[in-house]
Amino acid sequence: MKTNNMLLAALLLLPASLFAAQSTIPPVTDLQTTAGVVVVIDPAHGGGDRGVNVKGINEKDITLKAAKYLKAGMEKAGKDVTVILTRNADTTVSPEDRVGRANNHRADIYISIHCDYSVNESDSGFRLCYYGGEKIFGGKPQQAVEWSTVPLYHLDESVKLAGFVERYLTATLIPESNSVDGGDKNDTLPLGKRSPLALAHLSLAGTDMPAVVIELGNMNNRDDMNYLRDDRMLSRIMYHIKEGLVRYLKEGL
Amino acid sequence: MENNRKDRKAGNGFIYSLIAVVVFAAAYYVVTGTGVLNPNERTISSAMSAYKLYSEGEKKNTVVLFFGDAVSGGYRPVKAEIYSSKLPVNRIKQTLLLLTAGPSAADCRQFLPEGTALKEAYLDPNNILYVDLSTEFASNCRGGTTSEYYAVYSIVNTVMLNFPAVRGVRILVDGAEKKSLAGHIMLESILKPDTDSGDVNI
Ligand SMILES: [Zn+2]
Repeated sequence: MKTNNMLLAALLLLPASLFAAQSTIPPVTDLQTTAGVVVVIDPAHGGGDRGVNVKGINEKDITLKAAKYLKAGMEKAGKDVTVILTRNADTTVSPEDRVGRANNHRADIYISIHCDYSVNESDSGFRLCYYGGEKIFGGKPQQAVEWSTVPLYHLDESVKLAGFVERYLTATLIPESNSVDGGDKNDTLPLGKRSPLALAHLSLAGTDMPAVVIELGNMNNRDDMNYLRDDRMLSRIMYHIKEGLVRYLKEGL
Repeated sequence: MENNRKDRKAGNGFIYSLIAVVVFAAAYYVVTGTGVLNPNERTISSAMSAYKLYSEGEKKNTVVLFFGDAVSGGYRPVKAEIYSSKLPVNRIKQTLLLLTAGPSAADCRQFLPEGTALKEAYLDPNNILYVDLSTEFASNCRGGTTSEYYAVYSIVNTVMLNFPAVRGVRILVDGAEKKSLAGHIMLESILKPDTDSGDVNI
């Protein structure tokens, strides 16, 4: 079990070590593939399920807006990229239908976007989650035995994907030369980073591809909440995530 | 006649002052928080009477309760004492009652949603512990992966790291299985302790 943990930690650190020598990262360009790439983005909650609610602001509205920013960014990344949202409006969609759609389209990656709530108001920053850990069968066996545990087949890749997203959320990014609203300044997000969680997450159950949950921030923290409700900041956050995803896809294809 | 009226007046005055004293005393009782209306006191006293119910004699054992750390946001293991009992499930019930009563230190956080109470706990023949919690465990959960995660694993860790004979935990809400608290952490399977994240050494 301990060896397993160390392997996971090493995998998570791998992308970080790849960029350790760089203080800034240039934009990832030209995502060209022979077979095409399918990315499924899941704006969590929706309809009757508003998600976290703090002072009248609903998680479901922020996740939908964030997912649309990410979709627009991914579609510009390459002509072979197909992006599917699990919901386009404020509608109720079950977790099974969301994941089923991704599996039917043989998606290359699955990104579920949430906004977090922690009882600690001082807890701040984004957080990555992937399906796995000692909590599922005590870490063993590593093979899937039922539908919900299919993501265990892709555990190593999901950990790697989480590592790339983390790396790009914390990096200083050099803007694209033709950037519309990024200006010409290098961009570092003011978001903190919280440790990733390996767990049995309902948003990831059944995903038959590398899949992660991205918690954009803690809605119980005043700073995080101010970032999440600011459209310009949300769009910057999603740009960093888009760069991480494109870099992951480029490395893997 | 004159005297009778005077007596009646004097009698009324006594009753009025008696009412005033009673009203004043009742108001004082409520305002100072020493009365039965103090909700915290009611919670703790009911937890403590149930806590005694599952004990035998005065011999005690130390257990560790998994509360939250107000600074790190992760677990804060806190030592507590339960009474000895021959039946393991009675020791577990005492421990869970102490967990649901919440921490006393100001820099500790309760991960369980407000009002969460233990309804019942029982061990099946395979040593899987079924923990039945009140509806508040789900209805007062604010959602969010982190809050659900720590709410669930503060229970699983408290049980399994203190009682190694327990092989897994199933959480029920008001006697029924639930998919998740609010759409994040899956509750439908047998849960194992969270030893991946943070300070869980006891
Ligand atoms: Zn959520």
